[in-house]
Amino acid sequence: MDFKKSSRSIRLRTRLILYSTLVILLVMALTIVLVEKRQSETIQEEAQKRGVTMARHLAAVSTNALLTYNYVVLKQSAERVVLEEDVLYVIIHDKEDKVAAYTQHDEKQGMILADDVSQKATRAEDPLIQPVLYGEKDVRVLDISIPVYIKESQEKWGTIRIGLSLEGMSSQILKTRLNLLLLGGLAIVLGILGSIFFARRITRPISRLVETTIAAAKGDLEQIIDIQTGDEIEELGENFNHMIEQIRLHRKELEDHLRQITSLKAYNDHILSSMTNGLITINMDGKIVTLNEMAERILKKDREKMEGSFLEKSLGESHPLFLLLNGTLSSGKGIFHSEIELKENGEVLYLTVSTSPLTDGEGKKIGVLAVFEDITGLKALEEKLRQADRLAALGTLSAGLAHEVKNPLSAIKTFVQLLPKKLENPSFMEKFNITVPREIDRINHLVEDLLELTRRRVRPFAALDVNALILQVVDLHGEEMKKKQIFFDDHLDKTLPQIQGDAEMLYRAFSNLVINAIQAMPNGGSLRISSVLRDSEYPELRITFSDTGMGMDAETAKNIFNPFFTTKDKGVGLGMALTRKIIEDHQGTIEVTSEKEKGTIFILRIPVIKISNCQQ
Amino acid sequence: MDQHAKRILVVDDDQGILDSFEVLFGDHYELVMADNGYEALRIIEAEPPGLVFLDIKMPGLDGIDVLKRLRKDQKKVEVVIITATRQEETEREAKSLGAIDFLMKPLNIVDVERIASQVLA
Repeated sequence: MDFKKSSRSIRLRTRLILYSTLVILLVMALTIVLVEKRQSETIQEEAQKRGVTMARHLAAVSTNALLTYNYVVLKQSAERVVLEEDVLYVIIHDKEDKVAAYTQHDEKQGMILADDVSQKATRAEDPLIQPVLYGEKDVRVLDISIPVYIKESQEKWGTIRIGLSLEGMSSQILKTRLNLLLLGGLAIVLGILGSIFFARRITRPISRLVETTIAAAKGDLEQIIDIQTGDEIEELGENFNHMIEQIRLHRKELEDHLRQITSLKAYNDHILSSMTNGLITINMDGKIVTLNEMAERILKKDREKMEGSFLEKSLGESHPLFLLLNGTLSSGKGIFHSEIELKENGEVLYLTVSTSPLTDGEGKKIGVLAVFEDITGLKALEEKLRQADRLAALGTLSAGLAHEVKNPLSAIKTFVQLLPKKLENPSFMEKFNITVPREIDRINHLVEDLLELTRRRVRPFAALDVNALILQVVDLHGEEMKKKQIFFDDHLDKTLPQIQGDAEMLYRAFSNLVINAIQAMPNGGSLRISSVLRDSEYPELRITFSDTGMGMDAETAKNIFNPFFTTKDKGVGLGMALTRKIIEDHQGTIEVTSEKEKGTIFILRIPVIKISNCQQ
Repeated sequence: MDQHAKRILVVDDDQGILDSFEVLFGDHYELVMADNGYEALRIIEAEPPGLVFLDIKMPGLDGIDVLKRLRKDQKKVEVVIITATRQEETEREAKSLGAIDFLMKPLNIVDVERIASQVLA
């Protein structure tokens, strides 16, 4: 925008000067006209008055001479009067209107003047003033005539006429006029100068105000208007200062906001670029809005080219990442940690991807966000660990197997080696018949258990009551528990529904858990068994076996489900492995938490399998 | 109490092993059995045997622990290790702790008898 003084407008000062000049001119003109008129009238009146006075005086001194027709005296009187200033002529008419004295024209003595003015003057019975043009130069003259009466009678005895020149009066009037004009002109000039001065005084702060507003409009808000006129303009200035202060505060606020936004953006950009996860956002049209450096690196694509283009085009319509994002875009549902496989140039990348719909502040959907992580390295490491675990498990298994097989084998071997020598020894044979089959059975059981561990479940599931199974197991070990002062804390929910399962296998699993608990409490304690139904979309039974026994360290707890891992005095270490297998055969899970000297808790979760699924 | 020249202590948590020593030596030697390390140490203290057959893998105090305890207590007993798993490290440790031999299960009665006769001659 361009802020400036409008060129079309007349400046306020000019206007003020113009208006005040006009007013002064008008007032002065009017004053001059009025004063001149008044002056002229006054001068004229003065002249008339003087003329009349002179005429009356002359009439007074001439009465006797008129009565006596003494023309000489009358002439002398007239000659005296005519010497007075501006008196052009003096005429005295006698009773018969004949000229008794005529200062300028002695030859007309005794004549009757026939001109119009003289006729009117002699006939008038009251003083009469007539303007006339006198002489060859047509001088403007007032002809003032006074009739002369004798006091005792009403008879007119003559007429006194004085011709009073108006030239002197005119020049006086002219002089007055000139003075007036001069004064008027001076007054106008002074008035204009004054108005210019006052206009300036008034408009200077306004101009300053205007300059400041223009500067402010151009963005310079560091102005303070200092006007001390003590009037509305000062008020205006103060208000303007206040306004500018407000604007400055607002601008500062805006600048602060902008700075915050900028730094927030930089911060966000920094987060995005230093994220170790890839991040892509798309808008509702499926166009890529954001793509961070890690995404660029993982996808091996050029960010510049991708941003703003359609994800489908950039990645391809069958790209798993596109499919996930597109799925979230259309369903509005996010995905958590989905694992995808990318094959490119014979290289396989594994990513975990989480997506979520993006909404603006008002909850309106604006797109989809995907965060992904390259877990290829992790996968490889996991695979290595799994292999190591498998090898370690195999080692434990082999060692366990060796121990468990070699002991009975050793016994059998000794008996067999002694057999030829002691065939005739009945006591030996008796021991032989007890020991050898027993040891062979041990090996057989071991083999059976091992097979059981690896066997696929073949028996169909049937409806069963978990609580009843648990109570049977507890009942079986009741004697031993009593002996060892172990208290059974029954927390079984008696309203549990029946579940589908293999009763024999579950019995074995529960039995192992109870035996385990009893062996963990050689000095007594309590075994708390609880069962509860977790009712949800996927209902499950939650069964816990908590003992107050010796507990285990973390290493032992971690390995407890591995075959041949045992800490017990008796047993081969397959019990817990088998228990886990049985629970897993029921699509369930088993977890253990334990604390040394406090006790151990086994938590079993078994889904309540619906009838239609029970055939597996 | 004096060390009994003809007394053999068998230490093993496996009943089959104990039974097999019973039938092998019961007629010729005085046999004492222990199914754990603590019992073994108690017997060695109370009635020192001329020879001990000691299993390695036992719950509680295992064979190596028993050897360590014997060395600590400066007990002079001839000990033969009997074990199901061959681990060179265990064998070396047992020998360094004073075991005179290391026999693998399943045991061969010829070896067992030979050692017994040699030691208890």
